[in-house]
Amino acid sequence: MGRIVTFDEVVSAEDVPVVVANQRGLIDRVNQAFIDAFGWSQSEVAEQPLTMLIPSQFHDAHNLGFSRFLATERATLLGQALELTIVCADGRELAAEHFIVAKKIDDDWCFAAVIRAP
Amino acid sequence: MSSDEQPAAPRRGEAVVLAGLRATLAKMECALSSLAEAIVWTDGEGTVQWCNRAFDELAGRPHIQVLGKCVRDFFVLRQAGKPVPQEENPLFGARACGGLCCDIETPNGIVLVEIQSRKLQLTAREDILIFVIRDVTQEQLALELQRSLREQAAAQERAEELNRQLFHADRLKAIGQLASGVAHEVNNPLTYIIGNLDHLAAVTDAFRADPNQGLPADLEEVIEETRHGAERISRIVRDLKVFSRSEQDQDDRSIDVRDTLDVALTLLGNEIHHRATLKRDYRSTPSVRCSESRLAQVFVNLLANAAQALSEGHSDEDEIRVCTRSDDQRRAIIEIHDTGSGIDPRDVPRAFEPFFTTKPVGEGTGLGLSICHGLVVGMGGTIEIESDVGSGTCVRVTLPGSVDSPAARSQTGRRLKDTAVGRLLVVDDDPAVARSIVRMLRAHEVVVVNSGHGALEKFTSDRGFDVVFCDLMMPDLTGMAVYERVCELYPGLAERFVFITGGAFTASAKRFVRTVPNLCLDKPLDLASVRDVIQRFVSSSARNRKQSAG
Ligand SMILES: Nc1ncnc2c1ncn2[C@@H]1O[C@H](COP(=O)(O)OP(=O)(O)OP(=O)(O)O)[C@@H](O)[C@H]1O
Ligand SMILES: [Mg+2]
Repeated sequence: MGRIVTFDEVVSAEDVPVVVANQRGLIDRVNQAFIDAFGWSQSEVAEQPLTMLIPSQFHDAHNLGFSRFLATERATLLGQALELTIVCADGRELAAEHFIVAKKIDDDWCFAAVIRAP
Repeated sequence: MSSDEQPAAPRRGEAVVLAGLRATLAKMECALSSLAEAIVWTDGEGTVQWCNRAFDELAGRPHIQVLGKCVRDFFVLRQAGKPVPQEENPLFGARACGGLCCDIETPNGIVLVEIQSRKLQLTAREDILIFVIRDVTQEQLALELQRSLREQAAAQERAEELNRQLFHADRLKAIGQLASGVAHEVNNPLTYIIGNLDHLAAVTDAFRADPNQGLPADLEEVIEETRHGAERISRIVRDLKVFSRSEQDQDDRSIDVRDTLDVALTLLGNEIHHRATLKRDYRSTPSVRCSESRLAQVFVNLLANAAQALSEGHSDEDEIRVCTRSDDQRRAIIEIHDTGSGIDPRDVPRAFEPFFTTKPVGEGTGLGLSICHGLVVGMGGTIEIESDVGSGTCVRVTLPGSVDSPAARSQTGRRLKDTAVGRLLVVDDDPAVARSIVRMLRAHEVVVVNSGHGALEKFTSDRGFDVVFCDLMMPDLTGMAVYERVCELYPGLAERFVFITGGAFTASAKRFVRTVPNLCLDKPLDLASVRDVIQRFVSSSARNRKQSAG
């Protein structure tokens, strides 16, 4: 989706599923479209590690990549459409297009992603 | 868990630990990604959980398209073109030991890799497989290069060994060839030595029978002649030694090519003698630095070829001309000309090939010129052929002049040095004077010519004299004119001139004597000073010879 590109556009988007996380790797919140698409409730995900949405075989890569980004601030995956897999509340794994962005707010990185299942 | 249930302090502590762990992970990720080896770990099923950049590159895919995929889907492993069987394929369950070297087909082509694999059991439930893949293409190329260099060196070694053998064979053959020539050279003096010894035996018998009858007048002459003969033989033997010196004894030294040519000519004298008139044209020639016996081998081969190109029995018409000179870069040029059959232009380029011969089986092995070529090139020189079918051949050898090159003939080839017996030329128009000098100098080898022209004529074929005693005033050509001509043609020889005069100087003769560095002796000659001069010339080096004379 061409229109949603910047961090602020992602965070405020309503018609596509969005998840927002902090720099500790914990989920801040998800929007209604996200809840509708993947079956998770706001309270189920809030304050939980992002890895709960990521299949286990990607956890190592996520942990290492996430840590590297925080240390080097050099992104390799941000700002582009990525074919990844998301874990739904019922345990299903769905292939979904992820568009991840990040922004530094008061010294802390904030992450947001649009996740579109087909 | 909810934030309400957690006290604030432990949460801050957790955050610090988390940040520390993240920093460590970041370092690990960066470090592993910077390696040239491709590193990947998978779960027990081969699903990629993490890999470094080198692995992404090997797989030819973006990182996230590698993650979560089965490691076996990226590559087909082949050895010698055939897929590696599953039971040996580390990607199908890591082998405990060692690495596997194989080709993998990547999007960038076929790469030769070594795959190391490990299976780690982290917990009772979790296995991970780790693969390290190293591109050994370059390494392999380097190894192959090394191997091929080694093989090349071995081949070179073999070729050199073969060359050494050929060189040896050629030398043996040349020595065989020489034997006949040498036999002839030795037989002549032997003939009169034996004759003289018979004569001496008869004289001794007669003397014993009747001591009163006295000794025959020619007794000393006979003895002297016998000694000369023996000396000639010893000279030939010495020349032969030069030629047959062993391979270990091949020191390079400064050599006057003319001396070496003379050695070769003596050794081949007989072969040449029957087929051609020999002409020497030795000009001022720089010395060269090489092994004398190798150079002699070159000359013997070339002279043998020249002789073999001529048919026997036409020695009046046919000619072998040996020329030496210097070129403008102070290299020694040696040319051997013959008026023989010549070489077909198509054969000229092949003449240097080993085993190329046009001679009947048993007569030529075709090694001569190839050996010459090898030797001359080894001396830093060149060898070339100019030939016209029907009119003859010239083989030209060009050798770099040695740095310490004196243009004069060196003493290296002097044969009489040890015994201090000289070879002398007496140029005097008065036969009585000449005879008296000959008598006086009996201990030496004395050659006499009776005119200036005679001397110049002699020099065309023979300049091997230690001293030239030359009368200054002669009716046909004065000693001065002879000397000037010699300076032009054979400068090395001019140094060895000693003038003799009967007084009665002309003004120009006086001036001449003052200006030339050479000695001038007055008639009647005094035996002591003549001997003194000879000793000096025979035993001193070319350099101080000039000083003592001047
Ligand atoms: N001076 C020459 N005149 C005519 N032909 C020559 C002369 N020198 C060499 N050749 C030709 O070159 C060939 C090769 O010479 P080379 O000396 O290598 O071998 P060879 O004389 O045939 O045999 P080998 O020297 O081994 O006894 C000769 O067979 C001959 O045809
Ligand atoms: Mg030959």
